[in-house]
Amino acid sequence: MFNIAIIGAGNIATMHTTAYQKMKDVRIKTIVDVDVERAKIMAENVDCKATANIDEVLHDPEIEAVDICLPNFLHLETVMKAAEAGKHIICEKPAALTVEDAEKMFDICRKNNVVLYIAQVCRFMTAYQEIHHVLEEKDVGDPKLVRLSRSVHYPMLVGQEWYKDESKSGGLFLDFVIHDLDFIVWNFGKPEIISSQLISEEKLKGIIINLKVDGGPMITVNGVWTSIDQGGLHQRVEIDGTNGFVHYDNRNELPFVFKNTSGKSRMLSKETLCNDPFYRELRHFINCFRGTEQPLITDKEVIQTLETAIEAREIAREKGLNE
Amino acid sequence: MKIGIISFAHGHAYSYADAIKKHSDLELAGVFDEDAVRGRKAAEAYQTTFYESYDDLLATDISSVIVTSENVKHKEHVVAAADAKKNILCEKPIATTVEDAKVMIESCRKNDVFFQIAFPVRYNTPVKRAKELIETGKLGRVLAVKGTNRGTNPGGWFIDKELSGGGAVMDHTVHVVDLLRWFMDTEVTDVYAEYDNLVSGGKIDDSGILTMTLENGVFATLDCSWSRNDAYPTWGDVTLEVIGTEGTLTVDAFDQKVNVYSDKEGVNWDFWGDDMDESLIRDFKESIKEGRKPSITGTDGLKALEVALSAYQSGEQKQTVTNG
Repeated sequence: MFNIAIIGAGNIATMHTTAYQKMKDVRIKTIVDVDVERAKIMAENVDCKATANIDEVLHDPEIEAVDICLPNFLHLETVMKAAEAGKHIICEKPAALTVEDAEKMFDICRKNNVVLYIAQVCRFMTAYQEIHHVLEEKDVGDPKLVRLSRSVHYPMLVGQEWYKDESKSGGLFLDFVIHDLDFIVWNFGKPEIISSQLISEEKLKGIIINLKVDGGPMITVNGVWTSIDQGGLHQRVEIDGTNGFVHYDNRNELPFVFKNTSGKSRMLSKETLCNDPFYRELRHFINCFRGTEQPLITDKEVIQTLETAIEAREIAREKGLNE
Repeated sequence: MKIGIISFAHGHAYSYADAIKKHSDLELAGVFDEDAVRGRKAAEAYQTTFYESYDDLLATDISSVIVTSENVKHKEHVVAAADAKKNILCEKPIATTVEDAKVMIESCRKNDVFFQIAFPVRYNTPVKRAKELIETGKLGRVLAVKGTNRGTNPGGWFIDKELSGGGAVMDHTVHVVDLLRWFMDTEVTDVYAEYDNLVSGGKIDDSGILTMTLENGVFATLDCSWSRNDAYPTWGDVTLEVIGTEGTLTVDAFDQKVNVYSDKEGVNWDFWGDDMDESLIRDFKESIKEGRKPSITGTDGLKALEVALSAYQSGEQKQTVTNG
């Protein structure tokens, strides 16, 4: 049995606990949250311990790994503590708020002989894996023009206020379009930024980044946090290649639609997969801890993704064009 | 757990073999095929042994067998596997006649072997959600269902009635009928069908529309045609529209796709949802290991077949027929 602790009992932790519960060889032993009541609610579902004190986990010799589902600004200090306590680490994206912090995290893990995996979940979405496969097989020839779009309802559930504070979340660049930047690094290599622009209104945040990859495609990334609930996350990929075109738009897919007679509730099932990307991601990390799989995401790629996100934000703040 | 495959006549043999390869506790230990060239090629591709006769394959220490031969041969292969005391997964339709299906069921009962019919659509995730929604009463009382299971004319033995038992009506009625029975725990009582060869030339039925009445009062229609042409981006579909007193539900089982327009490969919808064939194989394995009854029984296969046969009878008589 592989014992794991979850640090932070927010939204993403719910996804992670659901995934771990499907794994017969993994046990969630403890859930930590500063708000112990919140930890308790989650722990009750899982049938495990709840605590507000992270040291309980760090001093528990049974626990082999921690899964850090905390707000982004807490990643660095928590990874440091866990590494020094000799725990393997899964940490939510973005790795950290600065490249230096992320490098520090990887360094301390190496020093303490533990591994750190950053949960860049885009890699484990089967649709994105299918696109990756199409590119690898050269079914569309060489990719030349790439458009990646992503939008979602502004994160404003209770406990999500920290997203609004860029010094805590890193904002749209680090928290949200990091997925598309990861897709770019994964498929095309590290890009250069041509321009990056930001719209920042009270209830609407939007960014458009233009990039290019040396010897590869020109790329546009578009990310939006909006006050309008558009029925969940919307993600799109369009790639023009020398011999074809590949296109994915999750909003054009309607595998399951339920409408009831009140006319008010219209449910588009978001749970359209059994093997959801979080399960696939965490299963992969556990297998990597155990040495039965090799990590799909390298430290270098994590750093390159973060570097691109931060640089794009700097350019957007300054002048828009990267001269 | 060692598994053998009898025949690669049906294309699903390949997806089941792929699924077996994904499970570390399953081994594709041997294959037999009347078409030795096809069988040897498959054996090579899946790095397993080719046997010259199914008796030789059944004489090995495999515990389980997947029968994916031509429909009309299911009986011979299932009975032989049952006599050899193997667990059996049989491709749909169970057989081409009620008599054959009954012999198969009886033979498995007599030999006390595990006998499951392959209706993979039961393992499609949106379809599973539909069953949950209906069972929890969120749709109220179901009034009507409109289904489609269209596809591409598969050609080969599928269009030779001597081997397939029929065309599109035989091939595609059983999937959706199985879902209707499974969703609502009911049987089809009356069937009216129109079918013809309209699209692909030749003689066998490639187009069909069924109208069915169910024991619970629901009526259902089904388009089971092989009406998709070669340029269509995928093999076909399974869709359902369910109308209830409290709501409506639409399911498009394969509508999770990456759209690829390739000069090399043409236009394709690459499905990215959960792999239902793999889930079917997993369920087959787990049911056997845990000593459970098969999720989909021979009787389920027989009941679905009866509706396809009633549809042919209805078409011949040009009137509604009582099913079963």
